[in-house]
Amino acid sequence: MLNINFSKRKVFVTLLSVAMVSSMSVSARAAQEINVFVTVSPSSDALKAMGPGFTAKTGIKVNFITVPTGDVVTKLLLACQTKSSTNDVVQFDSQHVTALASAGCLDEVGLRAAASSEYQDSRIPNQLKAYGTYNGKRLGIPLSTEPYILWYRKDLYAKLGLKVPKTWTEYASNAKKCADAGYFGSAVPYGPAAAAYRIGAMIHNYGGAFFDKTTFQPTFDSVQSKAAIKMAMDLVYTTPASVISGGGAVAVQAMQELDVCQMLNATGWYSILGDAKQSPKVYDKLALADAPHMNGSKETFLFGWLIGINQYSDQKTNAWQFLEYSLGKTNVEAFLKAGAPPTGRVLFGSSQKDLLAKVAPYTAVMDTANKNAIPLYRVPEITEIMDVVNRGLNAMATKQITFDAGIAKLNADVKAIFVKSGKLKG
Amino acid sequence: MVTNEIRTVRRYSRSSGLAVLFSLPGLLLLISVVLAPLITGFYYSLTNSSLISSAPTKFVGLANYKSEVFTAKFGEALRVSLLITFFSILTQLLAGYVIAKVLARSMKGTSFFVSVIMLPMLLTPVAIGMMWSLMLNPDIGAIKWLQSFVGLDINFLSSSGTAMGAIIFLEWWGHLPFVVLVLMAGILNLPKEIIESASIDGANWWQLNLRVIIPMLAPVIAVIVIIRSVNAFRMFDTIFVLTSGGPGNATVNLPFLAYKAAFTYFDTSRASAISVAIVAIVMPVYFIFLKMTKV
Amino acid sequence: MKTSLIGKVSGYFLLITISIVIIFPVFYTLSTALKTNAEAQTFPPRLLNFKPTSENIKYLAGNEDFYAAIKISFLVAIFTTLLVVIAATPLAYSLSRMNYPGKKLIVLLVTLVQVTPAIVLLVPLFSLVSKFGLYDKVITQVLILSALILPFATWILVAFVKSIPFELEEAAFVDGASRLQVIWHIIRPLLTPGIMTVAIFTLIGAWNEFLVPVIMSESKAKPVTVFITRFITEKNIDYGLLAAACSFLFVPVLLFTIFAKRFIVGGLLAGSVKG
Repeated sequence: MLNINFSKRKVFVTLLSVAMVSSMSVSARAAQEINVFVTVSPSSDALKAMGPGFTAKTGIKVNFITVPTGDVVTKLLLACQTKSSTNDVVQFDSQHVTALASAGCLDEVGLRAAASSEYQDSRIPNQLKAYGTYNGKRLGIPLSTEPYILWYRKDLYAKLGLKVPKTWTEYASNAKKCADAGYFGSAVPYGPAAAAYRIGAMIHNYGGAFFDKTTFQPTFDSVQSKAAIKMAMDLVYTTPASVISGGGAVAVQAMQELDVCQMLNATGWYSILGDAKQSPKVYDKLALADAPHMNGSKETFLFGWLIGINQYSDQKTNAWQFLEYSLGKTNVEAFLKAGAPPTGRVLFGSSQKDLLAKVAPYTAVMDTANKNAIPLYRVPEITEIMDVVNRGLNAMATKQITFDAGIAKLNADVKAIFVKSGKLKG
Repeated sequence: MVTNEIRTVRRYSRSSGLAVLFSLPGLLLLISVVLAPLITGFYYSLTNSSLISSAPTKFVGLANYKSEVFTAKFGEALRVSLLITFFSILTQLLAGYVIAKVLARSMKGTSFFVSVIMLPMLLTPVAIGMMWSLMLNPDIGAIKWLQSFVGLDINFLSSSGTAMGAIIFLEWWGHLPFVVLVLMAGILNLPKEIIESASIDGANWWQLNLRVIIPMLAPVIAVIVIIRSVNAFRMFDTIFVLTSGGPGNATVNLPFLAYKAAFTYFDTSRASAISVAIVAIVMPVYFIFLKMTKV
Repeated sequence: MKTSLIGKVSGYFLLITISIVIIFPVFYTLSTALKTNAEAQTFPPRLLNFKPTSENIKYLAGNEDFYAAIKISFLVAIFTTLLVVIAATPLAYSLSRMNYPGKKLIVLLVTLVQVTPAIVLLVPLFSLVSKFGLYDKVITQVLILSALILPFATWILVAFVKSIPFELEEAAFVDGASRLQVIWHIIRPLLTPGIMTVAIFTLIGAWNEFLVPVIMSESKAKPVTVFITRFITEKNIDYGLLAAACSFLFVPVLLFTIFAKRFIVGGLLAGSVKG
């Protein structure tokens, strides 16, 4: 082996010089420049489309930093630990407001919004303001508003003579009829990183909750919560296999490819499912309706992206200017045309309404949902709670654990988290 | 003359200034990237430090160990780590031995097959894991399609047994080349006379392999088992992209448990307690390693 | 020993079967890279009978983020390789040929890295890194990866150094050469194949690394391995683009392997069997 004569030192030298040359092009940050931290979503694509116009108007250069959705909060927390101003404008999820606020990462953007005549804060409904608020401070303004609604296949409903369900009982009976006819009945994801969201919304639709907001006692064993979970688990057999171990994107993929009668999912997916190019098989066969409810409850979870300003940014004024430009009254139509799902703000005129009816025909459904929607629990333990509930529900859906043992485990796991943080006694 | 030479050689071995110069870059790297974080990590494990709290950190004693290490969750993750390690190495040794024996025959085309078999070891694990996750999609994936030819329809990610099977298969797939190549080298280095005389003495195929060849390969197999067990025990990428620990917690291994505590719950101190426990668990392997690497 | 016909046939059957198991995912990746997302999601999958599109490759080629990620991947791989070679070669020599205080500590540390899962180091390292303002920097990944790869590199080189007869050095020294001269003129040329092996493994290892950059980078130091995760997330799965980006990761390694094969095989032989 040692006798190999190596004559390709040149390769090494070449590689080295490539490295040297490319490392020299390190660019310094110009004074008139902001960094916008976004994830992969239709609303961030629209935000990106607003960049050049803003630069042309103000001379401020806009750089976009894109990270995967699952990494958004981690990256923001990590960056904020270093107290650096690498990110000026930041996109984040409402469920992470607590974590980001506790770590002191966010500027109180609500103050800027309220003072801006261009942004017209009065047209943002109160539920949406509350959605970005933690401990009395408004840390994010809506970039998109995406409550869970019912999606169904018009053609399959017509073929099987199904009615749009008002209650979850009707949804379940529709699902059964679809399954009996050889179709999939439902695409609610049960994956280990997703189950808690939509099933959590169902629990609230039934009038249940994860835990009591004042005593922090878990309430998965309440009559309402148990009934909701039971119903969700009874739907597993009508669900495509990939959706049993997948998340929201996998459910959308199943809707695109397989014959699935109905699903509960966020409105924001319309940009994919309503698009002829991306969803050639179903784009014209889908309809949207209010999410089913039970027991007289109208409550559901509100989702959607928030956007705000990094506490440690040294470009806060420019950062706000960009948000004002992109989300303010002047460019409402440009922003929608760039593919952004609507934010649920009250609109200005008939031309905007017409445009909205075209790009987001579900606006009426969305407005109803917004009125009854609450943000995910605002406690610092929420990410850990969502993780154990995701996994607990996933274990139940994949029959790792029986229904009763699953309910007991959910209660015990969430209780353990509150015991650890001192909110409950062991 | 002889004593002179010995003196020269002694002088040669003694150049300690040069030794410091030679070992310094490596030592500095190890101190800053290994020793410093290990000590810091141990310190964190005794505090309540967290990414999402701006409150000052304080000592909490062994509370993190109590809540994170001496729990069923940790035990379960340890079991997953050990199962992955045991089964991936066992199957690699079995398949690797047969493949290495065939390759060692030096038939026509062996060199080509060596190149192909080498591939998984060189390809990006996270990319491979993602492609496998597409292929394993139970509704539209390629694996569902391939199964249909033999009348099967298994959803690998939906039960704990098959999900573990999928993880172990990927680990097997990715590191089979290492086992094959090392075993092949070992087989080629065996003294041919012994094998030939054994077969002349009338030993059948089984006797030849079990009684003669495998015992002679024992040191090579020991090296494989040690190196592979360390790697399989710390597997992360595949679980991260393929199952994210599911279904339920069925494929959460120890590194994934530590990762979740640190980067999903943002709890540095609890993650550190898990990390310290992991170091304690690998200690026996550490001592075997030290024994093997006498310099 | 002569191989019988049955032995030959079953041998080839085995090798062909295992080759298919190995090549199928690679082939699937490369073919999916040439499909639109809608086509990539059809069932049963079309392995050959599809209309190839360059849409994905064009998208990536026109994507600034992707360019930046490729540049970072190259930088990290090359500088890590340099640092590992610079640190491991003298270290391996000193460990096998010199006696000095602290040698034991180095052996203890090197071995410790080899058995410790990286995540154990990364949790505390992250806070150290952010304290020193090193978050999201290429140099951080280079340093960490170098330390993580150092043990493997050192043991391979130790095996190579040990296979060089000590008498060679002795004779030259007796002839009046200084130790540095001995090392440069006698050891270095003989060690070149070993160094090449180490360089190749490091280059590929650093190119493929995921865990270190996923924790230590955000935007400015994000390599391709982290970049590709954006195509398969809770909000978005794009088969075609993901496969195209994965192909970009595979192709350099595949090409590289053709020229580096003998060093890879040789290195494993030296490191594991002789060592």
